[in-house]
Formats: sequence, structure tokens, C-alpha cells
Amino acid sequence: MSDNVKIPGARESLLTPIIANNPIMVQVLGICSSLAVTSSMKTAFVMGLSVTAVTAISNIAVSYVRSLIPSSVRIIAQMTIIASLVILVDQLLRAFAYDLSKQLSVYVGLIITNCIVMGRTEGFALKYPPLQSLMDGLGNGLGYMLVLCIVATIREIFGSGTWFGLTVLPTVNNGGWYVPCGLMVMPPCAFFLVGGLIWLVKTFKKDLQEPREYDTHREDY
Amino acid sequence: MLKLNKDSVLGTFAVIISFCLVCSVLVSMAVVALNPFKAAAIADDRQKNIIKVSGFEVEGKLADTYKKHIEAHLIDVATGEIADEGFTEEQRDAYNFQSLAKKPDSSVPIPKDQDLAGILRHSKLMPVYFSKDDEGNVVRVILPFYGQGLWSTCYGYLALDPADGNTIEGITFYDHGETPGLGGEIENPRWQQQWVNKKFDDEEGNYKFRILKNPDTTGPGKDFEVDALSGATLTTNGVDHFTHYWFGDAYKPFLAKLRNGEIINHE
Amino acid sequence: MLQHYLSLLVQSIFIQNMALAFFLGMCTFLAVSKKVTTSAGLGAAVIMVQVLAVPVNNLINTYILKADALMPGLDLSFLSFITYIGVIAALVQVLEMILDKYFPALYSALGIFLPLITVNCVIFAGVSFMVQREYDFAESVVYGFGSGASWAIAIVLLAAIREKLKYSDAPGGLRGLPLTFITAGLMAIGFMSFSGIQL
Repeated sequence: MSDNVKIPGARESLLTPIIANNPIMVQVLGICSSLAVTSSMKTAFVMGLSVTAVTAISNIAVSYVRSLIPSSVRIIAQMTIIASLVILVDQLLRAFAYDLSKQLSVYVGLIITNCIVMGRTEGFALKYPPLQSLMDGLGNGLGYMLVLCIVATIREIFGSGTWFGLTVLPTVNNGGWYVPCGLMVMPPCAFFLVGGLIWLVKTFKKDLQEPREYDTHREDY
Repeated sequence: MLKLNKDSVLGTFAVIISFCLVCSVLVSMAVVALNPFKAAAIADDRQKNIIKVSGFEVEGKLADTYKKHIEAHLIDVATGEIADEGFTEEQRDAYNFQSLAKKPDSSVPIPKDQDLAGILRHSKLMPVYFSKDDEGNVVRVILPFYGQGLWSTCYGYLALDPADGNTIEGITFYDHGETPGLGGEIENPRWQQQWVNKKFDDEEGNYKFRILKNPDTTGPGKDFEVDALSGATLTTNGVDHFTHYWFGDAYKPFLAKLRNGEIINHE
Repeated sequence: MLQHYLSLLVQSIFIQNMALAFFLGMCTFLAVSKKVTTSAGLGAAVIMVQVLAVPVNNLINTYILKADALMPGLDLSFLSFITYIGVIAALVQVLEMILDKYFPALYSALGIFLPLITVNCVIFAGVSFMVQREYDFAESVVYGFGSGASWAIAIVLLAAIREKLKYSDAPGGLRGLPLTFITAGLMAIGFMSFSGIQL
């Protein structure tokens, strides 16, 4: 690694990915699980924690061994590290949070192919020292968790009338007054919510907007 | 090793092999260390769900309450007889009918026209749990039942009154992949409460139990009909069908023996 | 028996659509769906890898990883994730080499997409679902094809819609990705109508 590459500060690498360079909303990584596990807050929160842990630890591990990894097999080497960590997380969940691991089912395993993890080890940890990599991993994990929790909050409150399993709006099924919005718990709703969130972010951050491909307001067609 | 060029073939192999070794040792150690906790978590989960329909509350430790009130047996589904021989108490308790239902020598295929539950095969032996009060009288008989909902196989336990082998005392579902808030409402205790005191068969022994919209609450159907979950017609139909399969078909021989008093001796 | 496989196929393509019912392979689904031709190429590559990866992992799972499979008392199922991903990565590499040598035309059409597929969660999820649902070998072949095809169909359909969408005059913030999300959501609602089919 040449010395003239600018190494970002630890604080900076932690904070930028949370909002300004959010992995889901800006980098468009790790969409799959963000859609599938957000129908309740509990699963979203645990998934967010797991991904944060895996991203942070795999980043620091890859960063430590980055000078040892031959470039021809770097993908496999990173995969090995990530997969070992995911197995650990899966086993821990099975041992100490059996109920949740049943609900998350295959999605825990899918952290392996979650592009955030791979994207960060490949794009950041291979180039920068351990401390910054750890912070970058944490930041990206937390940014991912933030979006997951926002989507899950909306879906759970309006879809089931609860938040973290606590009753917020007593539903008709439980003798209350709130008729739950069925669409919220359906899978497609996650698309609308994430799409809406990105729209919101892009409305305020004009530099992220995509250029038009066709100018529909031209007079001289 | 230090002199080795990391991008040469040999170097690549050396790095990858040492990588794999380190990772596998770490993972294996963690798994071995966590195994007892995992087994305990699975046992806990099963015991918690059985206790839920047993009619008893957990006092002190879950495992102690379970040991005090629950007695596990195996039944031969085809004949309905108790088939405990050759199994220890622990083996009966944790009898894994789910995975045994897949193996050809421990399961039987279900003919296509009778397979209301959509499960293709079922285990020859099924566990049954007797819930006993402090004097040792059997107060509830708990049977596992499962089948296809809309997205997934739903697994549950159903508690019956041992006196008539017909009245439902409680149900619970412990594993399913239905949409939370819609089909997932099969977990809702208020809905499960509706099942209590319903009966499967009428006095002539015809299976009458149904889950449907607008159930009969006053007329002749009031003992047999449970209200369907709104927004989850297909899940409810699935539950209706597999309940029918297990309690109107597969468990028939056992239920007949239970009703005759051949299973539990009432002193 | 044929009926059973046919129903499994239809179920895996339409009812349990990988992209629109389980949200798998979303990153590529949203990123590489700008043109019908490219997305068709990617879809074909996914089908190909899926048809190989699911049955191969099925064999590995049945004969090596399952409890008591290799020798009594040995349960290696905790190694499953790492084995599956290794097998998938190796398969993709081998497939790439074979295509390069014997079918250069196909290779140049699919070539750029193949390495991407290793990290596409459709493949990994297909394998995980196969293991979770305990399919046997023949079922896993059918399921592999079906789940691959389900994803391919979804991405081609989305690309077709996006080709039209680029002529629309959307608000600045909505252009591009957000609009794609909403389109995919509407497609998913459409695909939900399959869920009532009894097979």
C-alpha cells in the first residue's frame, strides 16, 4: 500500500455510512434481507445486529490479513472468513435465541451473500488498516440497521398494531379498535417503503438524483 | 513460509490451506462449546409449548414443572396402541417425528386422496404427552399435529379431554412460516381460545369439526365450528384440512382406544 | 409421480417466486435490469448455475454433512454454510472455464455475469431452501430449475417495464431506483395472486 493514499479517519469512517453514504439507500447493497425480515421489529433488530457484528468483525479480520491474501483467491479467502463468522452468529442465535432463529430461518445464512459484507471487505478492508476497517464495518452495519428499523417500525405498527411485540394500536383481533392494514405485512409493501425512503433521501440530496434519459418537455420532437 | 511469494501457486495453496484450517478449528470449537446450549434451547422450546396446552402454569423452573406434570409415550399410528418398548423416557420425549417422517423405514406414505395435510408421509410412531395433576390422574392428552398452511408447514400441539377423547382443551402452534399479522395470527391466543371446548365428532361419531367464516354460534354447529382468521383464508383452510387429517383420520384408532378407556386406566 | 414434480415446478416458478415472493437476489435484480437483453443473459446464467448447484449440494448434504451420514454419531451440519458457498464458488469457476473452452459464443454472452452469480443470494437461498425442505435428489433438480427460472422470469419482466419507464416524466428524486422499487412491489402484488393455487 503506497503512503500517499489518503486514509480516512476512524470517526469519519464510522459516521459517513450511517446517513450520508447509507449502504441501502445510497449504495444499494444488501436489499434482499432488508425486505424480507422487516415485517416485525424483533427480527429486523436481530438481523441488523447480526449483520453489524459480521461486517465489523470480518472487516477487521480481512484488514489484518490483507497483506497475506494472494489476489487470485481473495474472493474465496474473504468468503471463508465471512462464512465462518456467519456460522458463529447462526449457532449463537440457535443456542440463545431459538425462537428468533426459527423466524429468521434461512435469512441468517444469507448474510454470507449479503453484498454489504462482501462489498465492505472487498472495497474497504483490503485497502485500509484495522481500526478504520472496524469503524467502517460498524458504520455500514449500523446504517443498514437504521433503515431496517425504520421500515420495520412502520410495517409492524400499522400492520400488526405492535412495536417490538408491545401493543401500540390495539387490534380488532385482540378486542381493540384498530383494523390492521393487511398490505403492510405483505412482502410487496417493503418495496414501497424502501422505494419511498430512497425517494425522500434523494429529494433532499439533489446530487444523488439520476439524470433523465429522455427530455419529455422538449418542444421540438 | 516467509520467503514464499504469496502470489505463486504454492503460496496461494499454503495461504488458503492455513486459512481454512484456522477458520474450521475456530468454528468447530465454537460449535462444540455451544452444542449443550443448543440442545437445551430446543428442549426448552418444546417443553414450553407442551406446558402451554397442558393446563398447568410454570412454577419455578420450566424443566421441573415439565417433569412433574408431563409423561411422554409413543403410539403406533396405524393400530393406536402404545408402543413404548425399546425407547427410554428421554427418547420418547424428544421423538423427532419430523425427520423420521422422511425416512422410508420409519414412515408410511399417505395415499394421495387421503393426504389432506399435504405432508406425503407420516412417521409410523408419534409421540403423545399425558398431562398429569399432582395426584397422578391424567387430565389432558396432548397430540402433535401438522400440515401445509399457505407458505409453510405449520406444527402444533392439541390437548384433548381424556374422559371423552373428543373435546379440545387447548391448542398451540410452535413452528410456522405464515405471514405475520395474517396467517401468522394462528398464534393469536384469542383465536386459539375459540377452539377450547369444541368437539371433533358428533354423537354418531361423524367428524364435524370445521374452521370457517361466520361459524354457527347458536345452532347445532356451535360445538364444532371455529371462526376463520380474517385475511388468512388459505392458511385457515390449511389448518382446517390438516386438523381433519390428523383427528378425523390418522389418529382415529388411537382416539377410539382412548374413548374405550384402553389407553388410560381410570381407577 | 410426474404430477408431483410438475406441481413442484409450477410452485417454485410462480407461487414461491425467488425474487417477488422471497426478495432474493435483489441487488442484481435492481441493478442489472435496465435492458431486456442483458437481464435475459443474466437470467439464463442463474438458471444454469442453479440447476447445477442445488443438486450437487443436495448430494453433499445427504452423503457428507447430515447427521450420521459420513459415520455414525458425526453431525457436520454446522459446516453447511461454508460448504455450500464453497461449492457454489467452485462450480461457477468450473462452469466459466468449461464455457470458455467449449462454448465460446455462450461464454461471451454470459461471461461477465458468471462471477457475479457467486454472490447472488438466489443460488445460496435455493440451496438453503432445498435443505430446509428436505428435498430428495430428483426433487432438487426440479426445484433448482424452477427457482432459477422464477428469478429469470422476474428480472426479464422488470427489465421490460423499465425500458418503457425511462420515457416517463418522473419527479427528480423518484427517477431510477425508487421507481424500480415501486414497480417491483406492484409486480410482487401481481404475483401474489398465484398464491391461492392449489396443486
